[in-house]
Amino acid sequence: MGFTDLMDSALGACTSVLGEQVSYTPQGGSAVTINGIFDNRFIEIGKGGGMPVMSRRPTLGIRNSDLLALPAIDDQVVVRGTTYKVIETDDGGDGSTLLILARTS
Amino acid sequence: MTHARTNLRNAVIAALIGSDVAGSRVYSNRSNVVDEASLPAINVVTLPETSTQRDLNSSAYMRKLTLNIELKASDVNDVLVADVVDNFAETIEAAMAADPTFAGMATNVALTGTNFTKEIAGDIPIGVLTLNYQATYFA
Repeated sequence: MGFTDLMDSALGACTSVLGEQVSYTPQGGSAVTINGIFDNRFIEIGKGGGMPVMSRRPTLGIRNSDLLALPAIDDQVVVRGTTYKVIETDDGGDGSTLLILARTS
Repeated sequence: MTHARTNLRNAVIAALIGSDVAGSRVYSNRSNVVDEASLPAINVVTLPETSTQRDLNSSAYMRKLTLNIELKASDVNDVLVADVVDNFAETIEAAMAADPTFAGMATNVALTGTNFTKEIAGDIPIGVLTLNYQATYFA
């Protein structure tokens, strides 16, 4: 087993133990259920001046091999009943991708 | 005795609350955070003021106060958020123009500029529209 396979196996263990089931729909494709590690932390934005706003920064860490194709901007994810679209993808270089999400409603 | 600038700022805030753009979420020189869920919200910020003595025999000054009305509003649509704040701006401008003297507190309160930015670091885009006014008053 090569390093890539080892990493993929480790990522699979991480997402199944630490993650949760989410529905992932690629643009023009069908929804699939995968495991992902969701984070929805508070952030303060607009601190540069005036009245800052307390918002959230939702992200989802996934294993690329759980999808038929690499994740892309405008793909949709449903997590905990909320629908998000992918606004940025951060390729981890190890077979994982961190998806930066934005709410659609 | 309350400073004329405070009275004027409070009158602007009352007018903006009356315009119902942001309900009662119209603040004065606020630097604390507001929750995204409570947007739209407005912050009335009074910035530097220039003063010119009215005449040599008077202790009164003609003052020109820069008054910024900062509106923050959100929309899930990244493109439409600009339209959302523009619609609110129209209402705010109408409220400010309804009585440019604010019951005689100022000789004039006039719009001098508008600036729009967008904050996209959060889970939905937030439009930030700042309306710059100059208030001329004597005190």
